[in-house]
Amino acid sequence: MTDSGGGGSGGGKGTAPWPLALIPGVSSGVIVTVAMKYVYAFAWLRTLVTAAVTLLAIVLLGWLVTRPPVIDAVRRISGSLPKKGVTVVAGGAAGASLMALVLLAGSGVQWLAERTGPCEQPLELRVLTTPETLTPLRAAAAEFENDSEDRGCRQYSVIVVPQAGPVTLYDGFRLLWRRSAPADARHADGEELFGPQPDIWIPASTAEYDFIPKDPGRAASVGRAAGTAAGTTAGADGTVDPRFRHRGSLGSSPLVLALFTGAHESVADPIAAPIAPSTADLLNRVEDAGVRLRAIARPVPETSSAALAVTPALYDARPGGDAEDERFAEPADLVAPDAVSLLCRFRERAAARPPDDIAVAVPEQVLHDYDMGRPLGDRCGAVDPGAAPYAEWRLHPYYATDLPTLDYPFIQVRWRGQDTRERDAAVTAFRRWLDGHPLTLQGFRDDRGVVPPGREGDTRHFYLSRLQGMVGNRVMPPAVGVTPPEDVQETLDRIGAARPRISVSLMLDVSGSMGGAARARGGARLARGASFLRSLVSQLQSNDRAGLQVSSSTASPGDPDTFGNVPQDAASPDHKNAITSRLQAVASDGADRPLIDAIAAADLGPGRPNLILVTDGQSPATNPRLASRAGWLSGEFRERHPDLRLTIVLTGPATCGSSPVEEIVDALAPGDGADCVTLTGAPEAEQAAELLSDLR
Amino acid sequence: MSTGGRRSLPGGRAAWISALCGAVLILLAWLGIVVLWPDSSYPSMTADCERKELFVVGGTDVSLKNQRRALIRQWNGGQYADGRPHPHATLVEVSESTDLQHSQIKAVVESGGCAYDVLIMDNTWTAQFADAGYLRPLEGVDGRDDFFPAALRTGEWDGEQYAVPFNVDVGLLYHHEGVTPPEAWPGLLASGIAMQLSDYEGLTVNALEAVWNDGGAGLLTGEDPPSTAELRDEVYPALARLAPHVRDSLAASRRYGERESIEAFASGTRLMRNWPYVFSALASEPRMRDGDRLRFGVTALPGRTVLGGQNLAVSAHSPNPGPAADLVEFLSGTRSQRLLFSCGGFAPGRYSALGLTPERDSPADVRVRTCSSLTGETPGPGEAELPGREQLTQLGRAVVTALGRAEPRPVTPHYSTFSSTFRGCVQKIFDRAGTDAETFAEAVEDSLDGRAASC
Repeated sequence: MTDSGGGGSGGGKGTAPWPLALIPGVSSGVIVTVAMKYVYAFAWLRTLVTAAVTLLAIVLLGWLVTRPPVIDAVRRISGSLPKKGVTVVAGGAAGASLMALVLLAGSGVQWLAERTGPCEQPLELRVLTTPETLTPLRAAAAEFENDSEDRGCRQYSVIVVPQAGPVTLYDGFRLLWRRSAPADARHADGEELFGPQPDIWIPASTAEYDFIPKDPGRAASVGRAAGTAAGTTAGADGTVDPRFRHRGSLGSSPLVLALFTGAHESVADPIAAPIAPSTADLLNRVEDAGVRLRAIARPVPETSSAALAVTPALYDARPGGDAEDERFAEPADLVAPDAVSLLCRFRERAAARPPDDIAVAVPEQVLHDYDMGRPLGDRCGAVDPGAAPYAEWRLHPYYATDLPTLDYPFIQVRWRGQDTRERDAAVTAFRRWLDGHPLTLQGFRDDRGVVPPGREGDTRHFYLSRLQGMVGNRVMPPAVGVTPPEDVQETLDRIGAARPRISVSLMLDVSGSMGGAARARGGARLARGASFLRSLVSQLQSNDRAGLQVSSSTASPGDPDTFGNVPQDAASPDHKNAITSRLQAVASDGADRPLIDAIAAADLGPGRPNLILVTDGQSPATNPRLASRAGWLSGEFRERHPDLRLTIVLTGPATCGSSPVEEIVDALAPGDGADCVTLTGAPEAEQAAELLSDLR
Repeated sequence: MSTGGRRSLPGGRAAWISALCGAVLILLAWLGIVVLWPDSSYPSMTADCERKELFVVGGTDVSLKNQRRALIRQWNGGQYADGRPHPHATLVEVSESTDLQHSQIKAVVESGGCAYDVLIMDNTWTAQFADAGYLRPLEGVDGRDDFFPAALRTGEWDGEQYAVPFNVDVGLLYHHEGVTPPEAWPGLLASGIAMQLSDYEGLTVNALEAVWNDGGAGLLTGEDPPSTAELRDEVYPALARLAPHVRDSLAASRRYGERESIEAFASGTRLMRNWPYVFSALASEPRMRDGDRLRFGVTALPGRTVLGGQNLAVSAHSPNPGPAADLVEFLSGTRSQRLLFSCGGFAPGRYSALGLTPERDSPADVRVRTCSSLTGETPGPGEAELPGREQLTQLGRAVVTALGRAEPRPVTPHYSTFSSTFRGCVQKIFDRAGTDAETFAEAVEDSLDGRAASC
C-alpha cells in the first residue's frame, strides 16, 4: 500500500525530477532560515528549541537502538569483527557515553541552578539618539528588555540618552567622547564626557552619519600619550577608534510644515494633493488661503539634526536671500535647541490661544507624538490630547516633495577596550528585535516612506495610521518619497553664510565666591557658568569669532599668561577646543575684581562687539565707588565702544535687580547696549541658543 | 541474545583504555565546542593597558569650589613619603545623572576594560560590582576604625572590603527660622513637609524611611532579604498608612525631586527632608539669608534614615592597582574629607574630619574648621565666608546624630531592579491602583533577586 500510494503521486513515475525536488528543498531551507532568525532573537525560544532538539535526539536514539533491524545490524557487524576490536569499540563507546552523561548531568545541574538562583547581571547597552526619537526608542527598548527575559531575568539593560546637535557630535566622536582635549599637560587633571559612550547610535539621517569623522589615524592625533578620557587609546595596529557599522534604516519620517488648527481650517483643501510639488508652492497655498505667516519655527540647526535637514528647503522656498529666510526661520520668541523643546513650549502655553501665524518645521514622527499626547523626550510629560487646551493646540502636517525624509540608520559603535563578543551579540540582538518590532509601532513610516496599517486591537503601540485617521488621508499621505537631506557640512556653511557673523568676548568671573553654590541647578557657580559658556561656544560657526578671559583679583583678564585667557579668533574647531578646554580646567581663586574693571579690560575684537560676562553678581562692598565708575562706563567707555553690547549672565545668588549689576546694566543700557539674564534650570543648550539668537 | 550481550561487554585492560580514550575524546570535543570555540573568532578591539597614570571615574563634580577636582590636583602635586612623585591622576566626569554614571562605568568594567582605575560609586552599587568581580578587594584599609562604621559597611560584600566612603548622605530635616521641628515621625508626616516623592531614586529613599519608622524597622535594609510574610504584613501596611498623607499633606511632594523641594523650601514651605549638601546651597540663597545670618536651621530626621553616599573602589581591571589604592587612601583620608566637608559641602565618612574619634563620637563634640582655615585662602575684602564655623558645626552635629540612626538600603547585586520595582509598587499604592499586599510582597521579593516584576 505504501509503495503504490507514495510512489505514484510524484508524477506517476515513482521519483520526481530533481529540479522539482529542489523547489520544496530550497523553500523549506528559506523558511527554516527565517524561522531560526526569530528563534535566535529570543532567549527563551532559543532555550526551548535547544531542549526540544536534545530531547528529540535522545528519544530517536533510544527508539533506534531498540529496533530489531538495528540490533541485527549491530550483531552482524560485531560478529564479523575480531573480539579485541569489539572490546575496544565497545569500551570507547561506553567511556564516551559515560562522559557525555556526566557532562549532560553537569550542564543540567548548572541550568537548574541558574533557573532557581538569583539572576545574573543584565548586559548594559547604551543607545544615543536625537531628542525627538527618545520617546519611541525608550518605549522600544523597554519592550526589548522585557522580551529578553528568561525565567524573569533580563538579559539586557538598555539606556537611551539624547544626543547634542551634529556639530557637537562631530567633536564628541573626534575626541573619543570627551567634551574637549586637555588645554596643556599642566591642566590635564580633569575631563568631561558627553555621557555614556554609545554602543548604538541612531542619528536622524544617514547624512548626519556621513558627517561624523571616521578617518583612520585621527585617534592617534588627538589621543593622549598614555590614555584618554574613556581610557581608550589608538591601537598599536593603527585602527581607528571608535569603529562604526551602518546596520540599515529603522524607518523613516518626513520633515513637515505644521499649522495650528485655526490656520489649518483656512488652508485645508479636500481636493488639493496631499503632497505639494515644492515648499514654495505650499507656502503660496498658505498665503492664498489668507494666512499670513509671521515665521516658521524651526529649532536651532547647530543643535538639531532635523532643523539642519529642513533648512535648505526653507531657504529655497522663499523669495529673497538666505539671510532673510534665516531670520524668518528663527523667531526670537521660539528659539529652541530641538523639536521636543519647541513643542513642549506649546504645551506649556496651552492655556493661551495658539499662534495661527506660525508654522512649525519638525519631523512627522515627533508631530505625531505631540498630537497624540505622548511624553516628548526628557522635556515634558504626557498629556491628554483630547483635553480642550491641547486639542486646540493640535498641529496639522503639510508635505512637500522637496522637504527631506529622515531615515534613522542603526549605527553600531565599537570602542576600544569595551568591544566584546557579548556586547556585539547584544547589539545584534537589539537590531534583530527591531526587525520584528519596527519603529512603525512607534509613530514612524517604514523605510520606503509608507504608513503601515495598524494592528487590530493593539492599543499598546502608536501607529501613525491613528493620526492619519484623525487628520485624514488628504492631509497625511499614505506614502511619501524618501528624499535624503543634503550634505551636513554644505548646509552648515550655507547657514553660516546666511547668518550675521557674531563676535563674542566671553568674560568669566573666577573669584573665590564663584566656588559657592549656584541657584537653580546647584553645583558650584563657576562650574555652572563654565558649562553654560561651553554650550554657547559649541553652537558657534566657524565664521563667528570668540575669545575668553577670566577675572579675579589674582586672574588678570588683560594678561595673556593668565591661564584661561584665549585671544579672540575665528571659531574654528581648534579654537573652540582651546576655549572649552580652559573652561573645563579653570578654578576659582582670589577675591572679586570689580565688575566694571573686568568690563574695562575686555578684549573686544573687531566688528560689533558682544561682551558676555558670567558672574555671581558680586556685591556693592567689592565694587567700591560704584556711582562714579558707572558714570565712567556710560560716558568715556561708551564713547570708546559705541557698538558694544554687554550681557551679564548671573549664576546667582545675585539677581538682575541686585547692586552692582543693575547699575552697570543701566549705565550701558540705552538702546540694546546691555542686558542681564539669570541662568535657570532649563537645559544649558537652550539658554545658550536663546542668548545667541538675541545677539544675532 | 545472551551470547551477544556477553560479547559486547568490554573486559580487560584494552577495554578500560579505550573507555578512557572515548571519555577524553568527548571531553575534548566539549571543551572545544562549548568553552573555547565561541571566543576564538571575534576580532575585538582591545585596549593598550600599559600606562602609569591613573583615571578616576565618577559623576560631574558638583561639590562647591569644585573640591573633587581640587583634591585630584593636590594628589598630582604631591609625593610619597619616600620622595617619589604621585603618578598623575585624571578625574573623568561622566554626567550629573547617577543612572548615566552607572551605565558608563558598568559597561566599561563588564567589558573587562582597563579604562578606569578608581571608581566613584553610589554606595548601592557595591554589591553589584563586587559580586560580578568588577572590584579589587582593598587590603589593609588605613585608619579603618576612623570611618563611621555604618558607612564603612556599605563598602563590604561577602565579608570583603571592596570600597571605602568618599562622602556620606543621611536624611536631614531643614526648618525655617522660628519653626520647631517635630520630634516624632507621625508629626513630621502631618506637617506638610517637602519630601522627594517623584518617580526617581528619591521616592525609594523616602518610602523606605517611612516604612522603617512605621512598623517596618529592620526590613528592606542590609543583606538579609525580608520574607514574603514580612513584606506583606509589615512593609505593605506601612506604605498603605503613608498613602493618605501623600494624597493630603504631602501631595505637593509627589512633584518634587531634590531641586524642586529646595525651591519649595526657599519659597516658604516650613520643613524639608533633604541631604547634607543642600545646607551649603541654601546658605548661598538670598531668600534664606539675612546678611551673614542664616534664616534656616537643620537637625537630624526624627527616627531612622537612609544611609546614602558615594564610595571609592579600585577596578579589578586597573593596570595600576597599587597606586590606585594609594589614591583611594588619599581621597578618603582625614585631610581630604575635611576639605570635602568644609569647602565642598559634602558630609565626610570619617570621625576625624569632624573632630571626633570612635570613642568620643557625641554630636556635641563635633569640632570643625572653616574652608579658609584649611586652605589659607581667606575671602576678599567685603566678602563673607558662608557657611561659617558655627553653621558648619550645626550641620556636622545634625549629620552625626542622623548617622547614629542611619541604615543602608537593601544590599543586593540587583539593587536597581529592586528600586524600580519598589517605586512602581509604591506609586500604585499611593494611587490606590488596586495593588494588594500579596502581589506587592511577591514582586518586591522577586526584584531583590533581579527578577523583573511589577505590582
